[in-house]
Amino acid sequence: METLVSKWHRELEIFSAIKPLLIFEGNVLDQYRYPVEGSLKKDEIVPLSRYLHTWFRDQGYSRVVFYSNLVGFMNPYEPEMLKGYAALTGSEVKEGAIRAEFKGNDAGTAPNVIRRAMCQQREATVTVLEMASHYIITPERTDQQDVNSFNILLQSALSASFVRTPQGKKQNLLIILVNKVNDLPTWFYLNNPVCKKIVLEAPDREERKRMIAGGNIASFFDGTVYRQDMPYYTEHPDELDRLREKFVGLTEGMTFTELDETRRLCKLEGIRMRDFCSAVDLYKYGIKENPWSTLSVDSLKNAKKDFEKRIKGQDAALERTLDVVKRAVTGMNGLSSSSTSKPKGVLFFAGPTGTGKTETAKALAEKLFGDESTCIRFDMSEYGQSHSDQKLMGAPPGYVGYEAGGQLTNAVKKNPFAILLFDEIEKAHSSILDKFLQILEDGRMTDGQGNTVYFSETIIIFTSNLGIYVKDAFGNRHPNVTMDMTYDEVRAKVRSAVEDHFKLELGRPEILNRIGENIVVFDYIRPEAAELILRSQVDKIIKNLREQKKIEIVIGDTAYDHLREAALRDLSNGGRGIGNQVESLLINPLSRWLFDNGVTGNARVVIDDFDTQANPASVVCRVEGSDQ
Amino acid sequence: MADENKRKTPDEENEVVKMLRGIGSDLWGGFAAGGEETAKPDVKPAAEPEKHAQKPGLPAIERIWEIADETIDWTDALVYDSAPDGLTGSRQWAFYKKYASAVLAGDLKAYAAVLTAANPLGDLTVFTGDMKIRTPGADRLEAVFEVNEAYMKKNAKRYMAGLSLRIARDLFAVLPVSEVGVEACENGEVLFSAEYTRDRLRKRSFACTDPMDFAEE
Repeated sequence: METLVSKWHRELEIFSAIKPLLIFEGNVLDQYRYPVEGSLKKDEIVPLSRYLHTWFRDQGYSRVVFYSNLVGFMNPYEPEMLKGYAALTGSEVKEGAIRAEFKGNDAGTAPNVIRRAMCQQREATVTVLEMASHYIITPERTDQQDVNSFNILLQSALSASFVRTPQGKKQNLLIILVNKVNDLPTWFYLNNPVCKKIVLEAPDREERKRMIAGGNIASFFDGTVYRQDMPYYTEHPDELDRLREKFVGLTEGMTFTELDETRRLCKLEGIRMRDFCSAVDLYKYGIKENPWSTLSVDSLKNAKKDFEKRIKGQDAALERTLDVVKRAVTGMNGLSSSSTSKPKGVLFFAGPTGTGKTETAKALAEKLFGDESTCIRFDMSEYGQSHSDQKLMGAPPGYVGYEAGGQLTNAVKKNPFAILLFDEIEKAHSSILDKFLQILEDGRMTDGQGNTVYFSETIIIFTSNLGIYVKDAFGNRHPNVTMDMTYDEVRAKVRSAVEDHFKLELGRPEILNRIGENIVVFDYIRPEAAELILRSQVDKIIKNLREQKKIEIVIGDTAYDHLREAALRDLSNGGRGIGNQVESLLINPLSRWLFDNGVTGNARVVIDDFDTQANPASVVCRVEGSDQ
Repeated sequence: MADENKRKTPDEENEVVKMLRGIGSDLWGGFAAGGEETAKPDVKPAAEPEKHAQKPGLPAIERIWEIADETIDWTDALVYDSAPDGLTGSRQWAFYKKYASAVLAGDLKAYAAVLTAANPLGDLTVFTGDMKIRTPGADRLEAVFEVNEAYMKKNAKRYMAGLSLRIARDLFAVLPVSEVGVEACENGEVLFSAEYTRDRLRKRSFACTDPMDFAEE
């Protein structure tokens, strides 16, 4: 197997030869694959400290020690190195460690021990400061002793000596491991010519591939499962390759530690080889049965008919929406990209108000996950402030609301299989768009509490009324599309307006690129669709009254014609407008009449007419064959 | 691989068994007599039940099924040069590694070799008479034990059921089979039998398990 060397290792190789101070930030608590043959076996996965110990030892450094402010200096891998280090620095080893406080400038403090090691020329030393993010409370609240400690370290690095070794000249090194570089005082690393920052990333695609390459995949499975399933995959290597490929995609962003935990989980649960990737779901979400994998293509075949029962007159929009969903269900979504960690689908619903955008999202949630409540709606007009991203993703430590977490991240943590509906996205603050960009690109987000939330099992829907009105030079709103335009005209104008908004107004074409071709434009509610909506709403009222109150409502033809004429007079507010009319013309007057006439159940009520001109509107009714 | 699987002559097989005995006694400090497909645990003379019930590390017979041997991780042995958790010594790991490939291929000779070397039921013979393990197929192990009269007096059925469950757990721990059948006999007559599957025992809380649940009617 060819040698695979990570970017950070290459940087370590280059800069440890020329810089005396290296700051490692990022994934410092993880384990790493040792990339070369040496005192450790090539490809062995070890903690970072062991990695660094082995690497520098093999480079000719005879004294490699690790410091933490709780324990002091130590070397768990080669205690002899610590003794030599103690001798070099005039320190004393007690119970396997050189005890030294970090704070202050006394001779016995850690920075002074390090200074002596860095400045001597007898033996090549590497001092690794572990957990260095925890040495001071915050960089902004340092006292003089903290400042002194870092100052001594800075001076040590600036005056680091060279040492002759059998493997050539080596400069004494100081390595600091931090979660974030800004956990250290800025003056310590900024404009510091002897300092090099190296970012430790989670294992990349190639690293993850290597973990399950060849026979390595065996260690993910229980012995019985492997013995039973492997013969099939030996005969069908293509299928095993597909499983590997999918696993690599799903594990994007996971650390080596997390990957190893997934490996152990897979084994403990006795997961079959064909269900290999469900181990990732189990690890991330705590469930083995991914609702996406139980969805059949057959169940979506009739989806359009089911949708049409709820959403009228939106043939093209429904077709386009279902295309995206079908792609998600058949697993075709990741084909055009290297990542399968992205959300299952992204849709941008645009169009006039009341045309069924939200209803489509709800219908989709019911179809996919069997429950309309899995459509989680965020009204983006509530996220218009610059700090709104904290409301959505959670406030950072120390800020009000930190404990509560973010509304979006909490919702997805609670239910990772959901439709996320961001209503009126154009009203969100631009800082939120950056967060969305990350979600759309990486499929994950770290909340204020440091928990990673995965969006890879969600469908994200943005809705917007962009393109319905345009503003003139004086800021006055004018309709951009009207009901007398055909759907194709409406679609073209709205699409163009959406594109202009992201490209020209916001200057963020990259967001548009992530949405791709998934802008779905909803048509105006045309008279034919309006008729259907009205009929469906009236039928629903009649049915509810029959089932709940045992009141049979019969609407005479003339009455219905009058109702229709009034309800469909103005379709500019779409289905919602029709609903409002039905409420004021039918529900309210009918309730009033039933109440006034003491009809509370077991009756047949005939509506002969509606007086839509009256204020409020009224109904002309009679009870047929009442037993009251 | 093809050579390894080739049928060996009786003399060659004796050599293999001899070699395994050597490894086994190094690894586990004792070795059982055994054949190619039948391993017989090291039978020690039965002693007073109460005395052995107090033996450290072995629970009383009334709760014998609550603990079991540690599972050998054959797939880890196949991949790693040393135990990833650092809990298994290098010599023992080397033994696992040597057999991992054959065991995971369902090779019954390898099963027999491992059973002979690991002697998974050896510690239970204080509760039984003669005990035998059969390897009828790559997916199944069968154990038959002669009951110990001393334990039959109090609650015979529970004794047989509890011990059978413990035997099944130990056998699942040593080899990657998905079924284990256990029979308890008296003078060759089957008094009790039970069938166990790995899936049914997986993640079960044995402190809350009634071993009678597995008894065959």
